[in-house]
Amino acid sequence: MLRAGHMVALCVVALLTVGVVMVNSAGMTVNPVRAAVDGAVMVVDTPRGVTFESILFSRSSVYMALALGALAIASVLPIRRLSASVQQRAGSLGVDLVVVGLVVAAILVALGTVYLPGLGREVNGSSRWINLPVVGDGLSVQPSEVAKWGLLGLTAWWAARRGSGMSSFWFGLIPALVAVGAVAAVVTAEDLGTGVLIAASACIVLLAGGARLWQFMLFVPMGLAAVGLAILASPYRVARLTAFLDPYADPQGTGYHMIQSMGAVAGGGFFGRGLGHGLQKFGYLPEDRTDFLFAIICEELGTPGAALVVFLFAGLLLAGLAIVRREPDRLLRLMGVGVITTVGLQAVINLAVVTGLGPTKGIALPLVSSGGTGWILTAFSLGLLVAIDRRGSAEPAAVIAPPNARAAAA
Amino acid sequence: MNRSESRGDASAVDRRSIVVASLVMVGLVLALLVMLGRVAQLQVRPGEALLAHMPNRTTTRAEPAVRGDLLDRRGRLLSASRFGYRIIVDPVLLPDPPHELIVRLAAACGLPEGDVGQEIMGVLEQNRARAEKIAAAEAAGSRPPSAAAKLAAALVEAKRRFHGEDGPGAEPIADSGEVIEAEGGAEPPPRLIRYRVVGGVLGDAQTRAVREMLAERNERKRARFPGVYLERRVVREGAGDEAASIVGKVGFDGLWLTGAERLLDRSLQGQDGFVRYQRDAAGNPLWIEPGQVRPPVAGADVRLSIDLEIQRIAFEELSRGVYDCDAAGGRLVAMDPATGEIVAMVDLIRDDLSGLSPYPWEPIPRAPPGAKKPAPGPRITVDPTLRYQTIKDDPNRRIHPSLARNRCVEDVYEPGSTFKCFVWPSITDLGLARPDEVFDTEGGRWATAYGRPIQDVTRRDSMTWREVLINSSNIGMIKGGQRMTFRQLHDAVGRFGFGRPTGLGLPGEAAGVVTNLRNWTKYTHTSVSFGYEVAVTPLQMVRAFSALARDGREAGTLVPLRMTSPHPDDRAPGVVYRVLPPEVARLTRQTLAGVTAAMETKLAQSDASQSGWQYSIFGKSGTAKIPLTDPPKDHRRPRGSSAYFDNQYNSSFIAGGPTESPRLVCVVVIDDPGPDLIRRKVHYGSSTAGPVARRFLERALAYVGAPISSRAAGADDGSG
Repeated sequence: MLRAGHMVALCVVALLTVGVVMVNSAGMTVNPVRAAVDGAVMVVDTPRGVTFESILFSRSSVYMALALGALAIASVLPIRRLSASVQQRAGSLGVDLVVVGLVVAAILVALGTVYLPGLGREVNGSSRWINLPVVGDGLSVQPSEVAKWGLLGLTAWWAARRGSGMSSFWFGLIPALVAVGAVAAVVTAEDLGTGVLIAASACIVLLAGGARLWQFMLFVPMGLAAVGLAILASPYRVARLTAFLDPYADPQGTGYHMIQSMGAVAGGGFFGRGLGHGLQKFGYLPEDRTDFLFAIICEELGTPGAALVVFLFAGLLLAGLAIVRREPDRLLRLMGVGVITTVGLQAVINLAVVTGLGPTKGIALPLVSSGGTGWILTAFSLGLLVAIDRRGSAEPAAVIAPPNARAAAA
Repeated sequence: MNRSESRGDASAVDRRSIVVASLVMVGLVLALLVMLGRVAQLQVRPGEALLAHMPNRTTTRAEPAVRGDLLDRRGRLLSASRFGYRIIVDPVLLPDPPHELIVRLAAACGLPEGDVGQEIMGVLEQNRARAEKIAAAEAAGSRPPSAAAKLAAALVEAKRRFHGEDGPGAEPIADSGEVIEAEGGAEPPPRLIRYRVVGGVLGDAQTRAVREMLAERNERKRARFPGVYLERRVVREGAGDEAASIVGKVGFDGLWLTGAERLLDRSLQGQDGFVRYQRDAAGNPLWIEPGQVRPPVAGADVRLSIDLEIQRIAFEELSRGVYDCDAAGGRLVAMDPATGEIVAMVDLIRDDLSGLSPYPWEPIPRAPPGAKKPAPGPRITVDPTLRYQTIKDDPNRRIHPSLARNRCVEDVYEPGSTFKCFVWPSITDLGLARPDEVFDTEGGRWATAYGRPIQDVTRRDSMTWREVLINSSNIGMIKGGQRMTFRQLHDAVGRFGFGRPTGLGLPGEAAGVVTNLRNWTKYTHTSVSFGYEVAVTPLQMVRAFSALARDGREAGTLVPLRMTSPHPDDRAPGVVYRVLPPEVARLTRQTLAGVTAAMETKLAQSDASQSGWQYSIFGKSGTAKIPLTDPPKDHRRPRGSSAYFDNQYNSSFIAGGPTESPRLVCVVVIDDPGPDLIRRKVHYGSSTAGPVARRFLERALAYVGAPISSRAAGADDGSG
């Protein structure tokens, strides 16, 4: 029988496949047409684009293979035992706080590596990448990806450890919020979008973990103020915001990216220009292989193609939700919530940006936009969901009765 | 906390986490669906603003069709297209200072350094002025361009450069017409000039030299002369000046068409093709969508009826005649009487003739404000001793001979006595005069019933009706003409095709002038009888004359004229209608043979070398005063002067041959023979145009392979 975990795995494979094909399409080069007029003779070179072989041996195929490997590995991890081991003893608050502090410090150190000369790499004026000299021409890693998943694990663990203690303001919510705030603030320095995403996902994990909503709301104005400050502190963020509000004010300047993106979405009409026949990828739309790949998908495959991607994500989220709902272990459940929330939120933000409903941010479409570590880590995280589902299936159904049924029994 | 409480709390937390997760997931899925809706919305109904900023990503490049060749009737090339190159420069990219470039370019394309220098320095100077204006406009503008705007501007610039640089077949961009979008309503600053043509189309050797020069690299492997390009153009080249006025000319982009090029344009031009390709952001071609290529269809070659060799003979003989007579110009039209095909057409104007005075047109005095009548200007007299310019000025001719008016079809003249060969048979046909009927020619001086004095050149007391034509007696012709009613004479003239265009199709053809019946007076009747008060083109004359030249059943009929040689698909050019009964046509031809015989005798007396003709021909001479051209604007004819140039003439000769079975007919007009000839009274048609027609027919008939005339051969035997 097709289980929710299978659904998750299938959606991951499908999204990655769409990603590989479209990344190759977007990166396609064409031999220029040569039309010589000598008398009535015309010589037209046939365009040579992407072939099956070229996709198979492309860099993104390699990353897809690695991502699927990560998915497979994660799905067979003895996750329940690991979960039990980290929650073994009822937590002493002091030790837990030390653990939180250490993990946050480690994340911050990882984030700091982007500024190390020789290791950090600057792209488009911001330092988000480090180069690890491992294979060939090196592996680009975005430390914020590590921070994203690391912080999720940390908050889930904290909430699980605290249990109903999460409703305590000072000993439940605040330490976690401080950790989230610190990491998000450092990430935001280079990448506001990811910072907001990390903070939002972590907060949802905390809420799901039992934090009181009214306590939580106290910090929302603070968070918004921080975001506002971050925007005002950097001119290009202001420009992006004004461009979002009126892209046509400066169509060749700040509004260019957004107009080109919407133009790409609109350009192919309802059924698209056909796979590989997009035009915007030929120098008109920047970042067409990464953050704006969805625009190319819309241009080439039309609404049906966009619907495919949207339904795959929806399927992923709903399958993930089904797994989470059935999971009795609190840590694993919160982890699951964090993973699907992050993936879903990231997808929504990316689609909003591409379709002109949000200001331009550096948020990739998970599993689709060209990316190495992003794909691998996301696939690994979703693999954990599969693992949760796999382990859950081994136990009698009665034990994992739905919580509301249990509540009714109580 | 006790265990059950803790359990209860725990289950509350669990429930809470499920609720939160469910809400978040539902929210995210809904948001995803909203995004999908947004995608569909953008694709189905993109906003106006978005569409305005999404221009199509295609470039259409015209593929010009190659124009068909013009061939003569035997397939020799009259006019053909080839590709030529001309130099264009992008002043923005030119090296600074450009002095070395100017020197080298001038040397390579064989132009004077001064000309090249003037062109290049001039456009650089213009651009400098424009740059200042642009800088001023930018300074006045609100904000300095942002980095992104600079990037976008650079992109736009790269695109434009691509279009400017592209050589073959690129649509030239206008050098100044484009305007930047106005910002804030202020007058937009001009754009820099990016395209300027230097010199004309180059020859092959020059093109090679320029190409080598442009291939030179400097020490940094960059072009040594950036901003200079060769642009391909279609060049039309003709056979030469001899046929220029018929062949005509094609300008760039098919403008200024004249002559046969215009007449046959539809067949020659073909159909332009195009290539429409998708382009990337830098303007480079990507691919061509299905159906976006239409190859050009080359124009068809057209064979003209003109025979290049006969044309050459005509040109040579007419030139000789014009120089012999010290004339201002000459015209010759030759046709094949059997088919109506024009085989040669020459319009010659002497540019080396000095001593011509412009006609003293009198300015029309303007009434000063207040005064009722304008004050009369100074009296202008026409000096009969001066030789006035009789040929209407033609500014286009100064640009190129093939742009000139074709005077064989566009300019009319009064035919004078040559016209008698149409009036005489008409009278004969009506039975109003018999060939041997004797006419009283009054000793050469006579006055009509209404007192108009008439003189003959050949003065005799009496002549037979046949002699009236041979001796060209005005008195005899007028008396014969008086036997016709006004309508009869008017209709006869119209029947021969005068007063309306021939339908040949060459541009600008004149219809000529024939007085209409309502205004036809006895004065008109008298004048028309001997070839005045009608205005005809040489083309009309030669067609009318061909009615006499045809034999058998076709004799006396008018054919449609044609400019193209027959095509297998064409129906044989039919007879338009009968003008004369065949026997009258034959009679007239025989009578006209007497005219040429007399002329030949006279010619042999004055020049022994001009005798021994192999072909007998028939023809008629004519000499007529030249009517004044239309006065220029705000001018009029001086008071007291006549409507003619007083002492200047058009001498013409119309002839056909061989007499037994004519193969060619021609009309020769010598415009304004020199004053010396007039003083010696040898300016008449038989002494000026006659020899040209005689020599032309002799050579042309030999060329077309007409059998040698028996009568002429016999005469030769007799004299030898």
